[in-house]
Amino acid sequence: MNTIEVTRLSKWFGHKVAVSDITCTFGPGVTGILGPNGAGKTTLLRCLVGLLHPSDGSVTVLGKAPNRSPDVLGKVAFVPEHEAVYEQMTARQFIAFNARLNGVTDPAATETAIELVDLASAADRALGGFSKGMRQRAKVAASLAHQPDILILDEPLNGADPVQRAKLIELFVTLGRSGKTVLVSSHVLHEVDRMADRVIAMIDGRLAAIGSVRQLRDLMTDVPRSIRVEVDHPRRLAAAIMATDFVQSVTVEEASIIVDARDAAGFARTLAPTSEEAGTVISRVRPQDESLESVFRYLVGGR
Amino acid sequence: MSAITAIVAMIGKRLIGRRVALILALLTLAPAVVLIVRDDGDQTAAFHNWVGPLLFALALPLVALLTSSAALGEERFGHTLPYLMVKPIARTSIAGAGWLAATMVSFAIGMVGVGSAWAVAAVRTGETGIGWGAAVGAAITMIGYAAVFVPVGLMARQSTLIGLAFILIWEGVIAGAGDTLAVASLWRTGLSGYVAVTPDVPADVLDALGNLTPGAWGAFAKVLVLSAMSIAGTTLLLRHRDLVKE
Repeated sequence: MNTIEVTRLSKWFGHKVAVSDITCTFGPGVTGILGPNGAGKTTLLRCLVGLLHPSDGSVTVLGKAPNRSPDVLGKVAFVPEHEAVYEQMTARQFIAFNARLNGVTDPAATETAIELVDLASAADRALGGFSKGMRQRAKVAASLAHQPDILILDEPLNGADPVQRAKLIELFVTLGRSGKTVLVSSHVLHEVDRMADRVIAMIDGRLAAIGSVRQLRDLMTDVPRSIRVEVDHPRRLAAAIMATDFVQSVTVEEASIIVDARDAAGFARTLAPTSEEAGTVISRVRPQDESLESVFRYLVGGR
Repeated sequence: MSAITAIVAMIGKRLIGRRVALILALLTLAPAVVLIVRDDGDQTAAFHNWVGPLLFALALPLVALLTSSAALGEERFGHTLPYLMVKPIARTSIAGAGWLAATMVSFAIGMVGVGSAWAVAAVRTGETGIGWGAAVGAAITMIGYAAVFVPVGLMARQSTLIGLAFILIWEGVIAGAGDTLAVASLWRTGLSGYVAVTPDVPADVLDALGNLTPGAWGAFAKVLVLSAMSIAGTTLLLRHRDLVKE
């Protein structure tokens, strides 16, 4: 069952197109909105909660346009990307305030939300003194107090330390499994990989890919990877490497080779034994184009 | 506590907790200081002459501008507006809550000036009721200015400059140039309520009214109608403008 439907959504600001002709649906479970900075993720999410009005196309949440139906927002929670909070409030006050605006006055709801994000020890401190990661947790807690059916989280893991990051990911996965629609935007592939059943990849305001994490991974395995290998005898290693099935081409430099691998994983497995057989010593291996953006650009170019 | 009350309380606490609120409160003390320093002549007339022009024409508009424009303006430009907008609350309620919080805080700060001058004059003259008119006038003035400056603060990052231009050019020069435009001046509308409630107001204060007829109820009605229009306008802004795009 789809809870959110996006139909040919476009959003532009003056001459700048932020989101272009996106059609997709969202339902229960965790969906990752993946894309480099400036891809249009935030604009898309803001359109979903009615903060921005579509320039073209439409958005419906539970069958209604969110910017014209405030009542539907009672079933939605939104965690904005911006770290701004009411700095004079304590975390407990902030969470209770958000709960109250959603019609929840039971203090137990606030306490449960505080426990969920592991913020009990800092709950009575002013938000102004919080680190970015703690603010994110307070914002997530504030979004959970009224037990929404739909959670829309814009880069919620930004600034969180690794332990809290893992806990938040676990929380999102649990919420998704309980039947809630959870949308999480991120520009970090492996984070989305850990929590999302389904991924929407965006670049330059367009939909680059949509599907399960596995489907996206399959698309990405086809991306030729450029890898620099620093080695004592570049020509000898280049000749040995070219004999394997995983390499498309090799460029020899003074103290290194640059390998265009057809299959990066296969290349990684064979590099060490090949080097040993060739009698060379590798000092460093590093990818040339591992950024998410380069992968997305490949996906867009391949469409 | 309802959602609207929660928003009014939140905005009110934020506005009153700012350093500028303290500075504005100190600014409004000027008439009281003048009354203390100039301990000569008719103290009743001195009270009206200093509270009238100094407080109503200058201090109260400044208090209202710097307070009201920040009511929803700081929500928007401080990036906290989404916490209010993505909630099951009518946009009219958010607009109304902003206006009410701005009015209450502006009035509270303005009353520091009115109250202090009132206290000094009451001690000097023995007339304990001398400041009622000023308090009524201040309430009318703050309601009127909140109606103007709350939507301006929401619309424009440069709301302080726009508001200063309004106070100095429109209220100060244009509305004061001829009698006919005085009816469109907000501080004069407040002053008309003040004059209506206060017996024996000096001629200098009456002159500032232009063609405005003194009347507290009429003045209240005027600023309340203006406020209703303002809340409707602010609601439209919240409903139809993309206020969160930075």
